[in-house]
Amino acid sequence: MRLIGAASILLALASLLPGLPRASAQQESQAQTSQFQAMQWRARYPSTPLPKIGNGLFTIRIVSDPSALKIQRLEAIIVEIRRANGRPVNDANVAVAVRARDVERRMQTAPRITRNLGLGKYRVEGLRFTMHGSWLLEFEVTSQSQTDKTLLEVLLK
Amino acid sequence: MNWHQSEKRPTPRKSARRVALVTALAALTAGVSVPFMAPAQDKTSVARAPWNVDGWNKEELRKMRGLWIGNLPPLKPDPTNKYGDDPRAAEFGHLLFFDTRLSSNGKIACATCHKPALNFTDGKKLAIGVGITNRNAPTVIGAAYNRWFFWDGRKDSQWSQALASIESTKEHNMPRLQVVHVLRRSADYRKRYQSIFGPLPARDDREGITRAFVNVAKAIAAYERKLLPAPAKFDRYVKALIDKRKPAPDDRLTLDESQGLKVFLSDQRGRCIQCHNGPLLSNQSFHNIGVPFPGKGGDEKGRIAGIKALLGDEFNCLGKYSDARPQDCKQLKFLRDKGPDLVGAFKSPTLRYLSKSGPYMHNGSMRTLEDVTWHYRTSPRAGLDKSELEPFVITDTEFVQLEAFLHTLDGPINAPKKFLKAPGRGFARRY
Repeated sequence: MRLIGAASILLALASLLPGLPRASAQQESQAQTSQFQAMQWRARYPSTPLPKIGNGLFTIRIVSDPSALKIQRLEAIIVEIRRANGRPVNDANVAVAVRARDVERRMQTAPRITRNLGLGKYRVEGLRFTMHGSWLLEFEVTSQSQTDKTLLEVLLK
Repeated sequence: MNWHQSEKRPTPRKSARRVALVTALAALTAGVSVPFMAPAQDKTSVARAPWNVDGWNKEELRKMRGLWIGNLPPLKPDPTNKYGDDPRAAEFGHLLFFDTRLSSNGKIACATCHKPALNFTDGKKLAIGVGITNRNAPTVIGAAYNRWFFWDGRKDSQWSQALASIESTKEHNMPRLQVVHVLRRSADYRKRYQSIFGPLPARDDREGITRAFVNVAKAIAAYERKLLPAPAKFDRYVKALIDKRKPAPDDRLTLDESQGLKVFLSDQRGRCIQCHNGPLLSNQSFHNIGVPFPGKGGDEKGRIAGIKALLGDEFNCLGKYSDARPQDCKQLKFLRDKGPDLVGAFKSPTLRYLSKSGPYMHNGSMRTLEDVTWHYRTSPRAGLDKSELEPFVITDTEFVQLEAFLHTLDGPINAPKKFLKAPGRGFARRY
């Protein structure tokens, strides 16, 4: 108890010291909110950590707004595929498989790349999420005779 | 007053609030930020608001809003049926829906298995037409919002479902040629048909006969599109919460109902919302939940067989009898037709209008709602492939409460009154 008391006092004094680098109130609040939301999701969906797949040859990210995705609609997203060195992949052959993260459920549609938009960006159509929560999009990317897998997580709120 | 209404509703735990207050004060004194503090306070304030009579948290309110009927968008035109919103077609379809002449024995109409008095179901385990089918008759109310029809989703429009039932040997057992004869023989039908679809085909025009048969089904679908769900007790309750006002006494959920709703919404316990979501409480998807069936399960393959039938169907969205453009048929274009999860999988039905729609499940194997909830609670192994279910972790009381909640989803039907009964003259048979 004494130790905890001493630590609290020290922390309180440290926070009053001028010159120490501190995040602005707004930044702190934003970080707290996002941390809270992430914790909330984890509490609701007690998942194992995101599985590691592939050899890291390609990275993938969603360019379109993932918060616009809704359940029970046929959705499309735009993804950007890059090599590990950051160069965009413009000639990718991509296979997409989607499943829910926290329950054993595959998406009942067969989403696929419908358009190559250039600069490593691709349009994926045919996504139909049937429940809220976390979904995993597994991309098998083939480019210049190299094939690798990479995962994307999407949260449906 | 029910016994449970006199019970004290659970109040937030005071000790938890005290702990939170002490932690907050300690943190402020120490100058250390506690990441969850602000949202947690916000969450509590919603749960304690005077209008929030059952103390729902933000997340639960969000989920309830998703189930609320007010979230049901206005019915979009059916691209496969250009007559779908033609009032003359709906009137004609109303007559056809109740007409027993559209069956080989002159005794079966669509309304035989979809009786208005039973929320457009028949109260039977299996639908009985000219023969005994192997499927339970689902409700037609709100079916216009469905993406797939029949329990295995082998049809993708209301009209193609209707014409399959008319030709099925176990249902109407009525060949398309005979259907067109019925139109020819009735002066009223002839006149109505010609005013909507043009002249009737010649007797030897096979293609024209098929098209006329399709038009009959499109008229029936135009009628069925008028049968929509109206707000139930649950919806009125949620509307009050959305408006931040206390629900009217009649709309307030009893303790059993609200606790049942809690279980329904919970991602850890009931998990019902995973498949029964959206304002129709169906994710319009197919799941193997291990429903027992007699025999070897020859016709229990479910979605995997439904997809095969759908893709080879001349009456599907891409077929020549559909009025849709290819770009309107994206559901068909992105269909996944392989995978073990599709074996033995049947459509998640709507949970609205349950009280009169029993027996339940695709093969009517569960007589009461209690049987259904018990099935979910025990989650037996599937006869074909693997059941998706995990056993419910709920108490005996919650088990009963869940069923109490399901009854709050029973509401009236949003349709012109004349469409909720058999048309007068010539349709003396009661439905």
